Amino acid sequence: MEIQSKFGEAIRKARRAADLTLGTLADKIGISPGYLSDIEQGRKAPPSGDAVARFAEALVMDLNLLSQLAAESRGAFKLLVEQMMTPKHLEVGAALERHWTSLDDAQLSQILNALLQRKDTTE
Amino acid sequence: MSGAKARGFERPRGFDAGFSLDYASIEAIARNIRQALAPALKLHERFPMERVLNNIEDLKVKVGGKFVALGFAVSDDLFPEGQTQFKNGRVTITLRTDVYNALRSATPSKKRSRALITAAHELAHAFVHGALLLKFSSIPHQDAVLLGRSLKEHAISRDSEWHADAIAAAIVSPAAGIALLGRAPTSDQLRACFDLGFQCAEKRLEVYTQKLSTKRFRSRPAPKSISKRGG
Repeated sequence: MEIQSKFGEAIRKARRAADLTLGTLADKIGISPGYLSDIEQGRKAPPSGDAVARFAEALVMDLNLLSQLAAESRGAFKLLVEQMMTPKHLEVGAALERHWTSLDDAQLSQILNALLQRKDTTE
Repeated sequence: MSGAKARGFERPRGFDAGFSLDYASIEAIARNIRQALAPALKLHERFPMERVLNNIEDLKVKVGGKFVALGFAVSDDLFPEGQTQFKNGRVTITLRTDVYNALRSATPSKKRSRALITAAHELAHAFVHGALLLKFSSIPHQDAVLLGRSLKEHAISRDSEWHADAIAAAIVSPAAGIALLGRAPTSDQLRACFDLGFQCAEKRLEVYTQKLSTKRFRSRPAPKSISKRGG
């Protein structure tokens, strides 16, 4: 089954812009060229966690953006616990995970607004 | 369309392509493909297949009278060594992972030589057999192969697999390049220069000596454009 993969498309474009062959990038990431090709073509779901970070490093791409694209392409999101620096990070992450499915539209909008405000102040 | 196991040149084993090719036409088509894929490459240089495949998306080929994008993929799951398909508005050449890895190898080997010809064989299908690719685009690959085997006999000069084999050999080791090796080139020279396997070099030398060594064949102009870049 083939899926629309924004992640795969972004990787393919970045790889070509960096003038890397499938094989060269696959070697850098530590995966087979066949698997990389499948990801690019949308035949396989994007990887998660460490592999996405390796893609970002090898292609000099923004990790957050790439993680978001990977999550969108997978249709599932995963909190990277290893990137949670403080007990507060862990507390919020755990609360999100626990209550995720019961959040209503208004609550989701509040969280989104808080995140967008944070983005505005850091830009 | 897929690379078959035995690279025989005499018995039809593919589809009737709908047109006939002779060795001189094949040489001219291969020259055109080579020019489109690697314009700066000298006639007696090894064909840089991995780089060419990586940049293949810059090119378009004709399918059903329209130019469509080319694509390249590698697959762990492919049964044949390579295949060329028209799907989702794009002609995609797929190589099996072990074939692609052999192609990338820095060390000369029988596998690397075979991979080079396999990839060139698929390039030939992509550039020359647009009508067949369109015809079989809605049929699963293995069904198309079985269907091809069940069809009535046709002349070897019309056979899609023979076309692809012969064009592949001419892409990788053009007659004009062989001519640069001297008056009486040897198969060892062909192997060293073009990275051909033993059997392929022997066969190519035989074809060159018998059909292509006269100036008349090497000087035939290339046919009208079968590809375009970008856009």
